[in-house]
Amino acid sequence: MIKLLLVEDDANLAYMEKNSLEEIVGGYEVRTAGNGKEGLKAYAEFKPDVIVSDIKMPEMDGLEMVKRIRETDGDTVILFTTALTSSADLKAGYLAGANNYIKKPFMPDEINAHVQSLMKLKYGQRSNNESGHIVFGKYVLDASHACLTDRNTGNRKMLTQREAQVLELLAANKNEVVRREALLSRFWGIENKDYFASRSLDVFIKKIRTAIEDDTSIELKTIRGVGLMLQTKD
Amino acid sequence: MTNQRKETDYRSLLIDFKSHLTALLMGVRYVRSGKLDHNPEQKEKYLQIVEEQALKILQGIEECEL
Repeated sequence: MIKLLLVEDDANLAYMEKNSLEEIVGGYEVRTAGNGKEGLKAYAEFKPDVIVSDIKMPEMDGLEMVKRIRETDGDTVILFTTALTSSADLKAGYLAGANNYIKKPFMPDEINAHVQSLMKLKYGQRSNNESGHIVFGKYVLDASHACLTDRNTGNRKMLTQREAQVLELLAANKNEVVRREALLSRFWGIENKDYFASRSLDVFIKKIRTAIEDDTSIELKTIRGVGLMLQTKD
Repeated sequence: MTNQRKETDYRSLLIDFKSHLTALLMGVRYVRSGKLDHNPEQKEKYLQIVEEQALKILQGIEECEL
């Protein structure tokens, strides 16, 4: 079953797309959101495999939503369904981080064809990443079970779910800076600086550092004023 | 109304029309395909949406004419 987040402000169109993908095309579990802001919330809760989004929407448009998602997630397949078809519009969509466009009007079978093709490409590229486990240094992180395993000794450390999620994101973007704002927005659901959430993040970071301190080949670095980077030698 | 404003409104209207038309065409094609014949309630819902989307387009055209 493919988990698909559908972000569309036309309620009738959203109903028809959702129903058609679930009932007629089949193989989909669809969650809907009415604009980019709702889309970000649904994305954090639903953890979709695929996002299909309109561009022009009230409150927050699809481009802004995708930009924010791409700050921390380069993996999820994202398609725009749009009536905006000028070359400038297409360029803006790809720059935001979309994988492809579907021009309106379209049928749900077309969405399915695009999704199947992009999913094949995605899993082909990630064939060495066994069942969602992330390898860094001497550790294997199984984020879905919040378990960090030492590959050399087989010793396991249990993390809290939030610690595992934060570490998963840092490990998926290892040797790259992940902005503090992106972490706070993704896991604490806040957009602006919030003193208590920020301190809470610091506590999680301290615990993660302790969890991985046995491996000197990796370091969770604070990049002052910017964010965090999990630096590894592999 | 300036020409630029008119152009922006016109473009916005066309974008809305394409969304309305997408649902309208989707509904008509699924109803005609027979894929909803086993589910009369769903078929009726699709036809209701088709009508609503057509009325939205009509409303948009009438607003343009004013």
